[in-house]
Amino acid sequence: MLLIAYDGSDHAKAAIEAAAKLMPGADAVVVTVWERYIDGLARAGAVGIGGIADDAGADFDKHFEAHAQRMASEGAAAANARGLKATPRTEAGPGAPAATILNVADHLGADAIVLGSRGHGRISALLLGSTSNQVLHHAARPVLVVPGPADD
Amino acid sequence: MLLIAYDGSQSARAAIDQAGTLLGRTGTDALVLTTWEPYQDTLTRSGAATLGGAASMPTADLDEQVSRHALETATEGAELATAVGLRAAPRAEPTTGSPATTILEVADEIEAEAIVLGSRGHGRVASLLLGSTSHHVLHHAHRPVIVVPSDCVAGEKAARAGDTSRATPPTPARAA
Repeated sequence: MLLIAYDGSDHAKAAIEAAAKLMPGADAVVVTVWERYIDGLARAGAVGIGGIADDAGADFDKHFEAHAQRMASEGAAAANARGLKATPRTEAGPGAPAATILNVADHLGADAIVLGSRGHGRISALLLGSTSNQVLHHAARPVLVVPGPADD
Repeated sequence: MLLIAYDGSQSARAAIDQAGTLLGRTGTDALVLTTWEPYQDTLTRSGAATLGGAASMPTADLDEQVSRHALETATEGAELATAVGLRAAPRAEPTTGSPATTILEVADEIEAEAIVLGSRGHGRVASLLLGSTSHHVLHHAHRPVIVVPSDCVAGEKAARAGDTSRATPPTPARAA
């Protein structure tokens, strides 16, 4: 079973295409990871905001989760349209996307992790985004890294 | 066609094993590539080419041995690949720059669907979980790259993860 990390980016779409071409008909879980507002703040060291974060947090979280669900469904649909046997999944951190992806991979016993080399991050000087970089360094299973269309 | 970079290391064997598990169902074609370095280049790289007389060393014999060993290694890799369901052929190629650049060049030449690599090879810097070759290939490949951790690398990573205990277990499964 493949774990395909999907964030709606061109690279993520390319990752689904590559997985479908290389491993036709494979079972797949398309996961979109997200993080609760308060956890994101905590990671950024801003947790002293306290009560304000609680109120804003609940609203943001609803949006984040809904967005993640839409993304995961979109990814699973694209995967199925290409012959994979995919189900969508969302996972709320806490933690950086890479950590969450790795946790889910361990939890599901995935045969491989598939992801785009980059996502939506703006630091385009990096050819390999921070998430794929971290996943590669910590994965105890095969990782398929797929460049985006602009990288060809 | 896949391009599988193979140097005979445990990591490379694991890469072939996993390539078979993931990709062998459809009898995928694979080119198993082992690179080797002409000795003059080794001398140049190490700065030893400036040693008196180094340029006149008879390296042709040495190169012949090295390239033969590389082909033997690639053949071994191709046999392993065939055993796991791939339609594999071996190839030994002298490096023009580094193993990584040669891997990338061959991948372009055969228009490989993907490059398969172990995360580490024979390099001695054991603290790196991602060897210099896989690192370079990942940063410059314009095609999918599959990086396979060897058992020992996977073990190291698991041990490392155990040191800094995971903050929380995965949240309960929530299908979208």
